[in-house]
Amino acid sequence: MSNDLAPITPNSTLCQTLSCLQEKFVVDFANSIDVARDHIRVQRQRTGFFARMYDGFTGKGARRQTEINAGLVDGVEASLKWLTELTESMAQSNLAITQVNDRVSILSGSMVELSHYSVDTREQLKEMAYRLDKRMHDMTQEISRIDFIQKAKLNIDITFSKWEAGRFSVLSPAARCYAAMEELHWGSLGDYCRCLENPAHKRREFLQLVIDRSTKQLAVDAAVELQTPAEMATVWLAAPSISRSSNGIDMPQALSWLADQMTIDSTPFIYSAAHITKNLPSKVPLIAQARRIAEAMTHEIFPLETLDA
Amino acid sequence: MHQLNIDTLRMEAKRQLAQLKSLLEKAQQKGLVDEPAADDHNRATFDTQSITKVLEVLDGENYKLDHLDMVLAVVGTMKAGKSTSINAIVGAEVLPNRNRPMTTLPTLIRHTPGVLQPRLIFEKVQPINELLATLSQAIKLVNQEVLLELQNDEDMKELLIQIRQQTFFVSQHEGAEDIFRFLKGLNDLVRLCFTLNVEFPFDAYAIVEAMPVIEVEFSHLKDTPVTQGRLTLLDTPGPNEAGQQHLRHMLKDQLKKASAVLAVLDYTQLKSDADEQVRESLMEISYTAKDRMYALVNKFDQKDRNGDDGAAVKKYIAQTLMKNAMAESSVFPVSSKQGYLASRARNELERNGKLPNNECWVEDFGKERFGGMWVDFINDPQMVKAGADKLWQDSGFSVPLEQVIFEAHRNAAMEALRSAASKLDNLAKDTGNFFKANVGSLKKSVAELQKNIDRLQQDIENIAKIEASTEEALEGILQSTQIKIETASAGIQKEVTEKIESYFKEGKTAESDNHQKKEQRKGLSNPKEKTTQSDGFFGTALASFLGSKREIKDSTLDFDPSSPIIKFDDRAAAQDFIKRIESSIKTLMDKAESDCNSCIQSGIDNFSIEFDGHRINALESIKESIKRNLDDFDIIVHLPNTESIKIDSPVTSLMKSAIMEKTRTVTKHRRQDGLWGTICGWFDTSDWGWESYQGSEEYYEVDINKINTSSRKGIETLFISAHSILNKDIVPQLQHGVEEFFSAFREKVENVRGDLISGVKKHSLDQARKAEILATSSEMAIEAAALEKDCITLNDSAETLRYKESPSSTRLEVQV
Ligand SMILES: Nc1nc2c(ncn2[C@@H]2O[C@H](COP(=O)(O)OP(=O)(O)OP(=O)(O)O)[C@@H](O)[C@H]2O)c(=O)[nH]1
Ligand SMILES: [Mg+2]
Repeated sequence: MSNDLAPITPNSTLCQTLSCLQEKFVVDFANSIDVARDHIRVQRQRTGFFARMYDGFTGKGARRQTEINAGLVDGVEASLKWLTELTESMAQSNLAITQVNDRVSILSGSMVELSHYSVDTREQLKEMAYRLDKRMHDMTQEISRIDFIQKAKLNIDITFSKWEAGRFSVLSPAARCYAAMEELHWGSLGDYCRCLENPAHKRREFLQLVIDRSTKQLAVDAAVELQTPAEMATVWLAAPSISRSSNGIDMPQALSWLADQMTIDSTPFIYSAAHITKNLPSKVPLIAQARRIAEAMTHEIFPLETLDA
Repeated sequence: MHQLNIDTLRMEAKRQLAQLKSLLEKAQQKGLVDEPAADDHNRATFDTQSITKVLEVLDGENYKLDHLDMVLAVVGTMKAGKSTSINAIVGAEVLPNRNRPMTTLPTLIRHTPGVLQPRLIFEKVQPINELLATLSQAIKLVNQEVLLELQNDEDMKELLIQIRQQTFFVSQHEGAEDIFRFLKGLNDLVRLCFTLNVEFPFDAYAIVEAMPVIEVEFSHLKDTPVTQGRLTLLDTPGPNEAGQQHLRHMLKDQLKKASAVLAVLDYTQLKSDADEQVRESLMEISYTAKDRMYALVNKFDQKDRNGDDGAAVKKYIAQTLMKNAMAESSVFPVSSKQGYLASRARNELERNGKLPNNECWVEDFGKERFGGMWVDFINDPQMVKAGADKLWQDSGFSVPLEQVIFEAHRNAAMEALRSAASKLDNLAKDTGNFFKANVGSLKKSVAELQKNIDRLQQDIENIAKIEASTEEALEGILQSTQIKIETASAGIQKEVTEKIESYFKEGKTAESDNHQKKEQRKGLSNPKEKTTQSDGFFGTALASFLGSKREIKDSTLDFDPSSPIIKFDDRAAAQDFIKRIESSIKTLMDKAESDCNSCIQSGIDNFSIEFDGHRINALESIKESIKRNLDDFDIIVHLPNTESIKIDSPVTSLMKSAIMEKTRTVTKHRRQDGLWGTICGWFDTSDWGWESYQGSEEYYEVDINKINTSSRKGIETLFISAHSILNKDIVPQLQHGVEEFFSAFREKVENVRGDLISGVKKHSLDQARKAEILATSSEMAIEAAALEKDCITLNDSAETLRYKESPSSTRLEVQV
């Protein structure tokens, strides 16, 4: 089996390196449950990254392959069970839980109108909604507590030490920066910064720290001096020649999947770092200093507006 | 290392232009841009009127980036071979070269792919056609002798017929012959004007747009992709040419803009009298075109066994002549004639497979390459090809051609880039401020806004105060410079007087000795003459020197110690005497000139320092105050470029041309006299107190009074010139610099104020619309801020790249 098809399991190196993958997976999983058609929309492409995670995370790897080939899909009831399990075990962030919660509310709403679901299923959903709600409530409280700051700091430290230690090294410098951003986005820092109760100055301070550390690491990685502008295409976006390890292919794919909601227009830097494009988005400069990239990426992930609000 | 390459920067500039354009257009569409304020001082950074202009500027910069305009200016001494060099680059005879001055008007020769038959376009024929009528009147008044002389000149005869028949010049000329005839006609026209003392309308041609343009495909560029840009050569009249004064400013301007400058020198004239003059004009050019200048030392084919070889020539030009203001590697000994013949032959072969039969250049080519036996080879294409290739090599033309064109391309790209980058930098900042002001105004109450508006008005008034004090400083420095010049002038005048006085004494002593000898020879006993009180100019001085009183005249050859006339009966002695005075005076004049130069230069330097001080300190404080005054707007008013004020020519050359202008009439007659001609020119006289008489007794008179007067006049001219360049050239430039800076700065602040004023107006809109404008402006402010950063990076990179030594741009393909 080629790497392109191999299931990605929670304890794979990739998931260890990018802990945000499981968070996003849970959210995507929730969003893929379609009650109206009583099935789950797993991306059909055999190379689809979500499909590979689905296989790896639901442990159905080989067995599912035949099902997929046969065009069979899981039913809603089974999926909800999985969702519950996954949410409990995998989703750590407020961001993930909030989004799953949103999806569950929608599902509940739709299910009311559909008669063919069993009482059991409806109950299951209600139960889930309740637990999610509770978790969210607890988390919100936790996030606004003063000691959550430590968690946010830890998130930053772990993320940058991964980057510094070369664990993103199969990626281009800009993509490494993006990987770090996603780790922060789905991590405690993200939760901290999105919580408007937290003081704005503190949130700004954190983001500035992120920008500074990214700037430094970008410059080090590309061997470019801090003040020296370098070409986007040949320096910042230049990936090292692909390594033979599965990581060499999987990590860029993972990034591309992480960025599947990103658009050229609103997040051009991330878009160009995460996806292979022929031309640079028109909002991305052809030359830039490390800081410019760090700032742009940080603010694409943590929009300035949310800070001022 | 990651070296940035100019092509990337160019693409980035294009991206930024597009981004900025779309941002501004969006602002327009979203109704963020108001009508222009009624009062000019209240205008916003962008209003519906000014934004159109800005968009045009952006389009213009974009166009320039796409269509690199390379201008290669060809300058040089008279008859050095400028036109021949151009013909060599084109590979065809597009410009006449003869043994007399041929280029009278600057002419553009533009590489136009596909145009094999050159065509000349000269739109502005009206002034010369009107001239034909004037000339036909002038001819009627001219005396018979001159007319006859004119008619004996073949070329003139043609022109005279043209004038008689009033055949007008036309604007389009197809083919080399037609072009040749037209340019020759133009040349004859100028010459005739001089003979008949009729003004040629040079002023009408003092703008680039009025120059004749020849379009033709340059054989050496025919395989170069169009994207590499458009190369235009500029043929200039020799520096001494008639009309040069009129066209001086334009030419200087052209040199400033030129992508590269090719200075053509004549190898055979290198160490001639004109040496100093060549040096000066090269120095002046290198002042404006420092790193873009190359020298061709032409007619190297004339080198004989004893002549300087290539290496010596390079060294001589770079080190001795140019005092290292030019690198040896930028000097090329060449033979343009060979280059032209070879390149034309190759061109012809490529197009037609053989050389044409009866064209004289073919003979020139044949003889140059194959000597007397040329006829035997000329019809064999292979021999001709090999011969042309060899001649091209021998001509030494290919290396400079490749380098100069390459450099021109690089510089043109660099220029287009720098121009775009600096405009972008400025406009992006304006744009950023505009959106920030929009956002800020809507977040504030009308009362708060009004407070900010009032405070800005204070700042605007402060700028005016600083401007006034800067102008005062300029005035002060002008005055003290004038006083310094006066003092120097008086000092020199005194020295001149003393010098002449001492010569007078010397001359008189000689005369007295002579006189005595003569008297003795005549056997006349005339001891101890009685002298009377002197009244001559130098009488008193002399009297004490000779210890004698004025002699009572009693013979034609009387010795009169107080008379300003010194008599010699030996021509050589008189001449020698004059020569020595001349040389002393010349030394003093040189000193005077250099005194003037340094007075003026130090005035400029003082002012620059003063000005920079004013600008930096006072304006920084205004900037600070603006920042304070604009509550939370985050607007930074950027100072216009802080480059120091610079005069567009070195003072020495300004001085030279001012003197030349003052003494033009004289120099015209005395031009042949070389160095001395110029000096006499300074004296503004052709009668320098020197006469010889032939009678029964041959003697020579030197009138010291006249010499004194002339010398004084000369010195006076010098200092008048100094005052005049100070008042007419330097001060206006400085004033202009001051004005430009302050008005740009004031306008910036006024614009910010204008933005707030239109912000006040936006408060009267309904809530929904206000919210909409705020949202759009905020979003666009973020975009603008990002673009602003990119613009700064680009501008910095462009400036850095400019100073990098090794060009990294793709090499231009030149077939050589
Ligand atoms: N021997 C020799 N003569 C040359 C060479 N180049 C030019 N000449 C001659 O020098 C004379 C002047 O050449 P031009 O090309 O007209 O010189 P120019 O600098 O354009 O002259 P003006 O425009 O009149 O100042 C002509 O007779 C040319 O034939 C060369 O390389 N060798
Ligand atoms: Mg010429």
